[in-house]
Amino acid sequence: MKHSHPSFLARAALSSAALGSLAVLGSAGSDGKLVIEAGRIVTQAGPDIEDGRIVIADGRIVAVGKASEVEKPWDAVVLGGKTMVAFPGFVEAHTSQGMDRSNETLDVAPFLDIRDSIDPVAYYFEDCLRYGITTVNVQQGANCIIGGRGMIVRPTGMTVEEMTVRPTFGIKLSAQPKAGKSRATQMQSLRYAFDDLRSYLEDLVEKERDERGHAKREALFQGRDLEEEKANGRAMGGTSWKVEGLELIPRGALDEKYAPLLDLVEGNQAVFFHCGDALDVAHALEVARTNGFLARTTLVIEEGCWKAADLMAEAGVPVVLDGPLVEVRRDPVTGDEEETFVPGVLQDKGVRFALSSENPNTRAPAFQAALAIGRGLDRAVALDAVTRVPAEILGMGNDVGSLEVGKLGNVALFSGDPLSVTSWVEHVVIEGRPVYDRSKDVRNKQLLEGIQQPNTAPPTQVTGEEPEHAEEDEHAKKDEAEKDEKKKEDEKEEKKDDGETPR
Amino acid sequence: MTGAVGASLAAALLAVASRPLPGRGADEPRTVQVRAREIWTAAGQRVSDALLLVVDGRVRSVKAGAEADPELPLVVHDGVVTAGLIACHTDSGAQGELEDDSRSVMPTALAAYAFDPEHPDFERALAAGITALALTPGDENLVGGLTCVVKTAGARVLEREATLAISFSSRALGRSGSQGFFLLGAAEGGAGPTAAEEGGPELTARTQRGSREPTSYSGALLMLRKLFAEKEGPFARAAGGELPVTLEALDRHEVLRAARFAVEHDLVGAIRGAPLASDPDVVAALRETHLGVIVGPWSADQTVRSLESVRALAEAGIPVAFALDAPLHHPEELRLFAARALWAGAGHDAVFRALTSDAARLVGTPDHIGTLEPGRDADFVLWSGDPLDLSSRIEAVYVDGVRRWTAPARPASNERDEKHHR
Amino acid sequence: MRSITARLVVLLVVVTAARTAAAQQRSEQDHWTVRAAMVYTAAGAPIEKGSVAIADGKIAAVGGGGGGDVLEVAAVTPGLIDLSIEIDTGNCSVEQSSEVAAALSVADSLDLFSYEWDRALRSGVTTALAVPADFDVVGGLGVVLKTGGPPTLEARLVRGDAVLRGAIGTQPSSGNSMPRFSAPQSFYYRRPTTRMGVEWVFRKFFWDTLQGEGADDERTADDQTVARRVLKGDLPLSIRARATQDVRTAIYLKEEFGIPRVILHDAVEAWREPELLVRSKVAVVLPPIPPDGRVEDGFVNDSYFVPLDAAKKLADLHVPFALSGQSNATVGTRIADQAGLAQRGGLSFEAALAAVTIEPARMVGVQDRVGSIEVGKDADLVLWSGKPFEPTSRIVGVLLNGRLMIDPRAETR
Repeated sequence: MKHSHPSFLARAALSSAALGSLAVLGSAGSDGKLVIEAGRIVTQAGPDIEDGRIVIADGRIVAVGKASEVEKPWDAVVLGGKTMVAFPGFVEAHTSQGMDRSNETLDVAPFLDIRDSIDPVAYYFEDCLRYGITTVNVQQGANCIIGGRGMIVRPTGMTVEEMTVRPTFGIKLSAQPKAGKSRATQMQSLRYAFDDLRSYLEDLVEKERDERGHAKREALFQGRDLEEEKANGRAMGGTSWKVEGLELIPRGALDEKYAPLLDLVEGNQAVFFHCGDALDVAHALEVARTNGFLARTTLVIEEGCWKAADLMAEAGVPVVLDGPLVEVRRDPVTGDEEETFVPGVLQDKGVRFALSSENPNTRAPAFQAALAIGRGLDRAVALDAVTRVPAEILGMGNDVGSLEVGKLGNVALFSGDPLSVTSWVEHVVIEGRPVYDRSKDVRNKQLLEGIQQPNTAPPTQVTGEEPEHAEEDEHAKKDEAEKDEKKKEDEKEEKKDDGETPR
Repeated sequence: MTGAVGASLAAALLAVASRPLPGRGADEPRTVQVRAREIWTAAGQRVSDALLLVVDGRVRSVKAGAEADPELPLVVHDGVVTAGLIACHTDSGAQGELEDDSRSVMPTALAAYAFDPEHPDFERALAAGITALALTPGDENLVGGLTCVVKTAGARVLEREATLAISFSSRALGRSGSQGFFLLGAAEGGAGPTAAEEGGPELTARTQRGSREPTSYSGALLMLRKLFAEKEGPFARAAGGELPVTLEALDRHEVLRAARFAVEHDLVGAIRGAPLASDPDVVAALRETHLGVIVGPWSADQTVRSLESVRALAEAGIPVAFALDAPLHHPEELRLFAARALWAGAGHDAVFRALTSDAARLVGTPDHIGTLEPGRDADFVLWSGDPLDLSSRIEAVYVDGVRRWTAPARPASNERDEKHHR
Repeated sequence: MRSITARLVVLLVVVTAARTAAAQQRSEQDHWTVRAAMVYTAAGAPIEKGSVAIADGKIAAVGGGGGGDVLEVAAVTPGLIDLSIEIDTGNCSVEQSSEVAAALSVADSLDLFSYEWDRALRSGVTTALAVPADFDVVGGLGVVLKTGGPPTLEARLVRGDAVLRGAIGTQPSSGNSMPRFSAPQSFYYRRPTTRMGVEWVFRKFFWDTLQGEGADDERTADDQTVARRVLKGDLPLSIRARATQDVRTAIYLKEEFGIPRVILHDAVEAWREPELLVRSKVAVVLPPIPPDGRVEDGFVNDSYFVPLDAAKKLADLHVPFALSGQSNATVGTRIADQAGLAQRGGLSFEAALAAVTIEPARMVGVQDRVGSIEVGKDADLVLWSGKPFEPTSRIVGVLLNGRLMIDPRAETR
């Protein structure tokens, strides 16, 4: 896996990282040891562990196993409980939420970077924590031909830098027509964008051959950064078409309109290709094959695309399901309603897929996995679809997606079985730091307790009989006592009551 | 004198492009003999090498191998002769004059007053082999009025008060106050849903015209029940079967509602519309009634389920006829509907009946037209072959014993072209 | 040409034959034995490793043996009952020529061929309350019917004249206008045009009935006969009341006229008035909520809010309530999912089960026939692949009047 070139902004965040190209969250407080204890640990890397313990230090898991077998450091913060279930933090394979306006009006805008539009206080990131999502791939919206570059973030932090896990990751393309376009013009624009890239590169090389140093002079004149590796040229890589002589051009001299697309063609950037309908799948795969980035392509599909599952399987591309789990449509002739369970089709055809919080009916990955299992999906496939598969899509298969030694300490603690409708996410830990506690979640409280209005009952009442009680508990007793008191008061006030007293 | 008449008739036969005008009736001879290769007196009854004798505009007899009377004019036709076709539910010659938005119940509106006998619609129908039409008033009223049956030539109204037209369809209901609640059954992207009239999925609500009572099915039933409780008038005559009815109903639940009402009040006549009459539940409900079904008109997008109605109803012993809705549909489409019914599995006899005798029954004139039995009106067509075969040409059309239309001779240049292209 | 036609005809005949056969499959076997790891009867404690015997469309035995084919599943519940199914023919289902059409019944305007009944059946709903659409203040009579079987009212009716339907709020008045600069062009230029106008119509309806006023008009007399049945308690009054103020208005109406039985439908904000609910003894039908718990209403400018634990609150107050799915198509928001979501809000499993079975049955007076698995009741059962109402469980089979509408033995997802 080639490393993508980090932007200069992210380099600051990178400087403190010890490993790889990930920006690991700086640990707060002491030396950042955290222990999670749970009645059950779902590791997604083998059988579940009963009465388990996870030890996290410096942001990564250093031990996971039965509590009786794993030593608890004396200086660690402890989270969890006997009835709780620990689950790997969910991985969001693709979303366009959490930013200000997800699409630019320009058709082809690969020079854009969403680090400039991510909103750290967006409600979406709060929701991610509520549902236990700990890694999020934010990409541009689908209303484009070629959009800008996205990034992988953690849903916590007050600045983009704090949130950044991997900057400049992924570029968005769309086979579904941008608003106002037809499929024919959309495909034409896609082809043209790459043809245009090729012409540009060829022109550049030709000019360079005619006037040596031209590209470098131009770049300096325009104030481009030609430091270090950017000063050097490199032969064109990739597996499809090539432009001879590209080594003559310093990489920093490439126009920012074209450089990101060159990354694509050289296979150096992940691609998220949006498909609205089954026929878009064929188009997307064609563009990807022709321009050498099929191996880095993930299709972002809406529910109707299940009809092209064979094509997806044949091409070996993973997909992210951007729509509802079940496609409901009516036969235009008979009027009968037909349902297709999309993940089931994908499983049957052997297509690797991830579920997404972009599902219009529910954001919660656990709930989606449960519904999918209910409709007949294999349990392992359903759980993988919200952990391991999105992790692989993001190229973070070694860091997230399961609870194993060496991976990031991203954990979601549920109050019970994660697949049960009655379970809540009680705690979320990101890289060893507790970032969500449901008991302190004010908005969640409102969901449950609502906002009560003061009592506005008018003075006249109809007296009735005592309601029957099924069982008595403290709550009911308290209510009862209050009601009795009120009743006595009211009976004193009102002597007469007949149902026809006008107000 | 006879010889002169015979000679002039022979001349008429040889004439190339004679186009008799409708409206001229009284002075034309109404007695004629026709010898033909085959004469179909009714569905399934074919007489070969037959002689049809028409006297005074009525069929006198059809005999095989009979001798022609030399005193009477004789027409020799190398082809098939059948009764003229009958089309139900048209606006021919009356377009715009049969709709009235002012009230929902107009039981005494007579379609017979609404048409212009000189209108070219009638000649067009004639040229398509249609000798009688049923004009239906107010199909967007709860009770539109009384239909009438007219001949397509001679401006003769065969029956002034043929059937009582009632609508059970949502089209007859008044407009809702909240127009925003226009509920569509299917709103997915891609090709739009096939319309309900074409046998597609039924919509739960349609925009209606005018704001007038009733606005609901239940209100409509309440009104109808009250009307049918009257002791006198067209409703009283309809209850019990003296006056036939034509009940418009499109969606399947509307058909069931109409069928139930017909059983409650012992009505006879026909249901008109029913694009999904092939549904077994619909057929079962219709079997309990004394109603036939007038299907069509059919658009190019008509679904197979719709086209199969004729077969399904015929198998259940329910008479069928075709609505034409001229001039929206060209009269020639009537034979196309028949052909499509055949393609969808209906039997030849059933389809022929739907064009002739069953149609006569369902438009309310069972005794005068529809077959070539003795005593019936001499409305007949000279075909070059089987009338249900679309390649058969119409050579001539007679109404009430008078030749009203003759096919123009084919221009000789055709032969020249054929030789050229061989 | 002829051979193509012939082939086409043969194809059509075959296809039609298949379709007819499918339609006929509807009626036959009504003898079954259903065996389940858990039988939830809604009439007592669940039975482990239980069986339900069905004969002649009724429940013949619970626990003991039985005849017919055996169906083996993880769990069984009674068929679900939805009082807010909202399947109607839109504005053709309610007579809008006047705002009060109490004597007209929705039975005359049902479309039993609608695909929505099939969808309801797939969602586990076997009995539903159909009412006229809420474009009138008092729209007419509702009926309780089964969601499957032959598409005739005779075959499906459980109870005719089950409720009188009314609506409080902005919906009934929204089609009316005031004549401003010209003469009124339709009968929609009339009262009510406001919420208070809607309430006025209600009060006038009951008040005139009590005074006997207007009874010389036949229509009004018929309406008032219905009103008297409501006042006596024969007929529950089913009112759509969404906002808090609508709930209050409905309850004040009940108390003013002493209407014995009132059901509040789509009562999004009923939870905000616990005192009124308890003292007035209304029954409440809650609307469906989305899985993530937040409700935004698009119909009126103000946004309604129903918390996730609304059902639990009502249960604690001992207010009779039912859950509903309103024939939602979306998986995750159907009535069975609502029972799960109510548990997420703290409701017990037993109460959630009751809220979709026996409680709604009681509200509309059909508890003798449906709502629980007891000997003698209709054999309406839902068969599950796991614990009912959990998202990991699915409805694998539905029996209605003892006939298998959805077959658990078929291999489908």
